[in-house]
Amino acid sequence: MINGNIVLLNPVGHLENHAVTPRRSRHSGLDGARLGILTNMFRGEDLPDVIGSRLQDLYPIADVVRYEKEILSRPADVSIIDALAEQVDCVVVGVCG
Amino acid sequence: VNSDSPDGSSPVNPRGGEGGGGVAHADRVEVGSFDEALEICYDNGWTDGLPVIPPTEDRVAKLLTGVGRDRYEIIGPVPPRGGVATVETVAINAAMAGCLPPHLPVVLAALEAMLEPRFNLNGVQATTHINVPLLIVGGPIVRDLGFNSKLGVFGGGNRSNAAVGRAIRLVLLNLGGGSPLQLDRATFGHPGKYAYCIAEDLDENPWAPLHSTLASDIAPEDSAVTVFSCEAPHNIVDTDNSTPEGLLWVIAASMTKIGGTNTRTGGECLVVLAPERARRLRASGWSRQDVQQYLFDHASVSVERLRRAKSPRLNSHSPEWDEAHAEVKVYKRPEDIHIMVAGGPGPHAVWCPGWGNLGGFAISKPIDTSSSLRKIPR
Repeated sequence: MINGNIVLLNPVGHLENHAVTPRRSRHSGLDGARLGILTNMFRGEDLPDVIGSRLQDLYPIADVVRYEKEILSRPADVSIIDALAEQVDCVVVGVCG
Repeated sequence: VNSDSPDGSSPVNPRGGEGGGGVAHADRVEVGSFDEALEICYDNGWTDGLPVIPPTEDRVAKLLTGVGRDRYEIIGPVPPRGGVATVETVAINAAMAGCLPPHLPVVLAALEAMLEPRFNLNGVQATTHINVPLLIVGGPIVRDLGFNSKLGVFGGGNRSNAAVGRAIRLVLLNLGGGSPLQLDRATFGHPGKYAYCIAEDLDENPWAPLHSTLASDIAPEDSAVTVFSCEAPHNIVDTDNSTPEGLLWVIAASMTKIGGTNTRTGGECLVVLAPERARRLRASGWSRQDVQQYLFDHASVSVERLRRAKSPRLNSHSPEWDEAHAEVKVYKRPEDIHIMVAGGPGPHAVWCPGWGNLGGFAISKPIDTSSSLRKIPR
């Protein structure tokens, strides 16, 4: 109690302190961009290809590169993240078949 | 409403801080009345939809007497949001759920099990699938704290089951962001997302407790909690068989739904035998391993059905599957079928399918029962 008031404790906790340093500057637009699509590798899916084609129809995207996670239920391996950072200008993630 | 840090210095975000280095004390929120406290919990998104007990400083301090641990000891970040769980923040959520001091070690052990990388809590919390972590309490603490392991074991009506189960849910919601309003993407959700906690029957289990089969460093006579992320219990009734083979065949045949993630990818499941079933098996001299082996051998689906379903299980194609009427075993190892005894009278068993080979695997952790306060008078 403080001054007759009830004091509650916040149950949500604090977040870890992640110092994130962007590997590349943000791309200004999709003109001439190399687009990556990261999928979770559900069997038989064609959604990533549809997204890539549709975006290419709408924007002058230079290239579309598709990446697949090794294990669909876990975050992408760091080697994939490294490849994305190296090879594309922007990425579509969360693509689930 | 004043939101201040412990030293009264700065306002805070009700959804928690965004880093800042190190683990801070829980932020304080000052309110004028109990009713206002209830509404503040709603306004800040701290509840599961039901009212919570306001986590006052005094209530949390009392709860912390249930463990001999530093209140600021870090348990770990809870995915996917990554709120850092400390003994204190877990106690805050446990207080909101209605826990008593002796419950806190159970909640902490369950969280520590879920934070094992093998459990893949990030995936469990964020998947579209319908699995949710089930807590299975075993050992003497079941009796000491009055957990229900018998009639209606999956249902309501018991404080220990409900409060411990709900405490973990609030931890996953508030620290982990596991709410449909945040990062939980489950298509349908799960009624166990209010509370999903059962206990092993100490009187009727003819075998070693579940935890001692999963963790070689936990003795059968110790208290432990097992976490296993699974779907809701699927009831299997059988009034027509009396032999072990007959009873178990009906269970095995019920463990093979074609659209289930176990059938699609393998992984683990839980079978809960009601005492009548356990007694019958014990009288016939069946060990837990015998039961697991029989269910493993007979829980199978035909290649024809897998092909018709275009099941991803076909990716691990074996040459013998080309034979007409070939059968594929749903589970990849007998030990992936976890067996326990609980429930009341009746010709029933329960099957809880897991999340296939994607995560949520059964993990047991010992419960620190060193606190002198651990017994709850009944």
